[in-house]
Amino acid sequence: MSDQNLSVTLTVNGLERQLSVGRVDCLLDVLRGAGYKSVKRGCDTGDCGMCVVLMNGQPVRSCMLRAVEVDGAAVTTVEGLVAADGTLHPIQQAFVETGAIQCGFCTPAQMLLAKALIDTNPDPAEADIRQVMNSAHCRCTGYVRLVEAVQRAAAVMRGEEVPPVSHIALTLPGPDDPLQLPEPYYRRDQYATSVPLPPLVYTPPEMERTKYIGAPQVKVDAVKLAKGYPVFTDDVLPEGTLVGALLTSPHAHARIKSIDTSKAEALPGVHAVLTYKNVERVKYATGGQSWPQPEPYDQVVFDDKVRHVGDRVAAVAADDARIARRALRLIKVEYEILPAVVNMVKAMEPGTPVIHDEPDTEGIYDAQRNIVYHIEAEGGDVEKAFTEADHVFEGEYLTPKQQHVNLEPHVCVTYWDEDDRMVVRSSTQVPFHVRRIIAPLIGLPIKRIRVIKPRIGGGFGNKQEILLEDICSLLTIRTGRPVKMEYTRTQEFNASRSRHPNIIRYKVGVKDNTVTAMDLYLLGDTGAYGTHGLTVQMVGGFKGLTLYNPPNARFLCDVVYTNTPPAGAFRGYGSMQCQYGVEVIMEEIAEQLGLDAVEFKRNNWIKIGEPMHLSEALGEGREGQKQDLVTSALDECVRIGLEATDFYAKREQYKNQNGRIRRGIGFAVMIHGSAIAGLDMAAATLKMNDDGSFNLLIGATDIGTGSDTILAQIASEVLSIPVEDLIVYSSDTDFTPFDKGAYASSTTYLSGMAVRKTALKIKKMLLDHAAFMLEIDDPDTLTLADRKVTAPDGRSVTLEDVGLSSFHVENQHQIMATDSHISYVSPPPTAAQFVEVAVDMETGQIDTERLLMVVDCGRVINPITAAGQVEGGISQALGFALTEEMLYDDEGQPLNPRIGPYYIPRATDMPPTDVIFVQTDEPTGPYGAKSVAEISIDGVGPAMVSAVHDATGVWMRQLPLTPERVWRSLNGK
Amino acid sequence: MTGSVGDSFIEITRTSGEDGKEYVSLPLQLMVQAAVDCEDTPAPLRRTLTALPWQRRAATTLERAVYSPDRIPEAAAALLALDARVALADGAQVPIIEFFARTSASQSPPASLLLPVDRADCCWGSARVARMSADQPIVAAVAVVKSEGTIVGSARLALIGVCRETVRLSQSVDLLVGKELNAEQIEAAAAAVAQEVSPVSDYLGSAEYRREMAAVLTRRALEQIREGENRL
Repeated sequence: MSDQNLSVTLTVNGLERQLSVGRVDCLLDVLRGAGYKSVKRGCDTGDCGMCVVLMNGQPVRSCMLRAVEVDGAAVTTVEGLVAADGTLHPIQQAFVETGAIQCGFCTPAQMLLAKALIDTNPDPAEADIRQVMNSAHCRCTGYVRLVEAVQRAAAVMRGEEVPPVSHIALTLPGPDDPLQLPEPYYRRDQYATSVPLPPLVYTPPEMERTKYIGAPQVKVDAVKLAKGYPVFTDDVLPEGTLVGALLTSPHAHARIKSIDTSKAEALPGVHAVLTYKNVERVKYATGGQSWPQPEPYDQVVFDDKVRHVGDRVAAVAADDARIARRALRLIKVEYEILPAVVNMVKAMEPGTPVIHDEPDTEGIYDAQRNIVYHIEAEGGDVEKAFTEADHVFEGEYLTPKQQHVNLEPHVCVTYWDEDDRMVVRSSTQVPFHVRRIIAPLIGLPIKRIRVIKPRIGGGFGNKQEILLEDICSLLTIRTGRPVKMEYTRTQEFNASRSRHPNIIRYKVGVKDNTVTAMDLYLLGDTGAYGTHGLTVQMVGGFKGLTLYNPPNARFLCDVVYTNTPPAGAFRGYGSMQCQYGVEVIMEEIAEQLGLDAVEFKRNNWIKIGEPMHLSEALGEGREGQKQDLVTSALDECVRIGLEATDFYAKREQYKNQNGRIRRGIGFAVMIHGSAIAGLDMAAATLKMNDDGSFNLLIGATDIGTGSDTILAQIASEVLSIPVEDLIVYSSDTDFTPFDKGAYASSTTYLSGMAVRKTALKIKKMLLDHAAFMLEIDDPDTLTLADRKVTAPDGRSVTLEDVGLSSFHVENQHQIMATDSHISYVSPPPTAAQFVEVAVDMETGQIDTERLLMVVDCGRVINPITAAGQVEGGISQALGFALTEEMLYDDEGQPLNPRIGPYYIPRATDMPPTDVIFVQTDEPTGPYGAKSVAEISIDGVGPAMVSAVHDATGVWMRQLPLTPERVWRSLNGK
Repeated sequence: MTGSVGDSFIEITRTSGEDGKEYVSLPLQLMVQAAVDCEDTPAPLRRTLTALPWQRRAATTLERAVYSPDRIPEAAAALLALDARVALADGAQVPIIEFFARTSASQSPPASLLLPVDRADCCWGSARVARMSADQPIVAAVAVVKSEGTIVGSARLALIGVCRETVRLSQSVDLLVGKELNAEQIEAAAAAVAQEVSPVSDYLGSAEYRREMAAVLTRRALEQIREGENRL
């Protein structure tokens, strides 16, 4: 905040507050400074809506209002919704119950918008709710459960009784039995709206029933997020925290000829300035991956060369943000501007400027051609199969550079603790990798670093990178003071990470309508640094050649540097790009051969029992594991989706359309993975308390996915206790066991197994001690259920009895266990995505009319949180398919580095979005679970192309399908 | 009729314009939501203002909408098509087209928007193309036509995304005046619009696409008017 001392009086949540403010301080900063931490910062430009508060009952964006201009106003924040006795407001209660809260960062804004709406309209229509929700973005939920929450809250506030929130459970019919869905899932007649439907869960009759698993358990962190408690990184700062700020490059490619920091250092209130001149040059890679990370280590904390707009140049630590910004402006940098390389094809051409010409980076495949990685893998005899094929088809497909738009920016706080250890409180998906990777950068051993992960306001892979923790720690080391650093929204676009743009070339051999060979050439643009460049493309190649799993398959890949912000991990991780390519070419082949696309794909997709031919050749950055497909409900997913959408009838109906608006329906099938086979490791600890409750300590990082909750449900199932008897804590490198972090669709599958194994150990300890108490010889004869252990003769002891006894009375010991898990397989979830569209033939604009995903993610641990994962993934995938694309001019300058121009789907953009689960029982997963987080993003792109082709007859081979691209295809331009 | 300005309410009045016509006067301090709620607000302006997110309608003044036509470009187009005027603090009035073009001689700040009251025999139409429904338009058109019997008495067409700023075209729609609004005339006007505009390529669309869309959306706006869908 600025240093002028003006006074304003605000009535905040009914309490009159006199606040000292600066002339230009915005209301957002003043409220947060006064302790109202539920008010969030997401952009500072009025685009995101995270900072919404009610002013005199009206929603306003507090970042756009100067505090001095609202003197005398009555302000309501989410803290003010909670009753004095702690009872939640009906809106908060509804958000908690419906699963509308995922990461929780947008929740306060959404709840206040809901309040303002319901206050003026007690019975809002769904369209009214969506219109209001347009004022604040949500990147997690796809808005489905948010709309449901507002409807539910309004009903409660009208005095109506509302039923418990749950899913609909049905028994999966056999393949020859008739299939009839509940009427709403056909989305016809009165259900042809976007009204939210509960997730539908089909269970095979033979699947074992569970008590806590499969229940719509409320998220364990939902209440604190609903109350707006200070649970995010920036919400709690140590006394005397300095503000760190980053100077970034205005040029895409330049050498720093000189840098003068003297004026910045002389500015009162500035405590440290860091540049390449005063920070040790240690090579590293920012990708938060297991040790050893793939080479090359092509970054240093600060360099004398910048390789993209937004690259690091200098950092300062100052008393406040205003001084820090002034200090950045006082740093004089003289650049030698170099030609920028923006195009990934041109990057490889001879004579193109070399982006990484530094001598100390090892492991670049061909630095002179900007090729950082070259990958080759082959199974079978591809050339022979092409020669013998009846037909050979080729196609090229392009995918865009997509930004995560995690609404909580990257933010980090560092400080020395009382033992002179560096504490890093960071919004990260990978706390253990952060600790290991920054150690050499800041010159401290791992044992002197503690990383704490609080609640995370969305990550989607972007926080699987080490972006601020090193600089922030160095500033703390230089100043001896706590330091906070946070990306601006512009820096999120220019200095964080993105999805890799790809050029995808498939060549497919078909004999007797069977795919006998596939050749995939993949060109990936990793931007200025390698980070996840190798592993993303390897996953892309593996999944893109395994969905149809031909015995003869070849993968060739080049990953190139360009002078654009680095790409990194992003939900879907290469798989969604390549499955887009393979799904579209399979549809094109079916059309050319005159085959029904569904049947053609069904005949060729991977079946249960088949070996995945490239699983050993294509691991993630290393050799993989031999794997077979053990469980799959792809047939059932497609069958249900075809029925729910009336697919064939619509395909028939849409033939020979000739109007301006033409409708189409499309579909795609997908597989994904569950953790990285043979590499990822997770661990869990359970510790009993006197009252029979347990601490569940997990290194797994819940970034809004609900993983804390489903891990607790797994422990509950084993121990037969309700989730409220478990106190879940994640994650802190000092106190929770190792987990590699939240990525690779691993937490449910891998961390879940770690929890299950740990809980089984605890169960044995409980039974042993209870047997001792009950004087029973064989603990195996005891039954653990409903918080007690019962002997065959009916005598029992409660878990509280066991706790008290084991702590204080007899055979005293701590009932506590830790176990870990690694899997040598990565069982694929499978799914079918259906998309319905209306295409404007004159403008090329696509209106999406329905999105349906039918998913086999193994056992569904929590139908509400799982549905939330799918709905959110679908929403991000819709952006990928239609709007989201980071664009640059020829000099590498970004053209749309803001949320508004970049454009992510808003509430009114989302069509009816439905989720149906088909459960399978994966033998290697906890209670049969696989993963769900990433497969949800894989299908909308190709299904959209399929639908647009059905409507228009053209094949769209470049995403996103902007109106102009569609128009050009329709007009042969 | 009243509208809110912050916590207080102000009178929305009618006034005579310098051109002798009657206008409804919307103070520029009025919140956009109040303008939406005002029954005298012409439908095309109401519809375009409604495109602004709900929360922002409650927090944005008309002044900001008028001064920042790029933030609410379709509202600016509607004002141009409606032939609105701006009353200045010194009492002078300027046509909205001059106000946007900053060609007015007066340095006085604006005080209120003047919207024509006489809407007899007027119809309007609008059309847009965007990446998604809630996104800003790549190109949009708003047209207002006043009929005299079966022929066009006057026509105004404003377009977004086809020049550097939101513009009102004159030459193209002048072709319609004195003629029956039929498919042939509409096609001719649309073709003329494509010639008259001078679009600039940007990340949302190329100049070529914008020029084509100018014609398509003009045609659609005029077809709505021909079909009598939207009476002003």
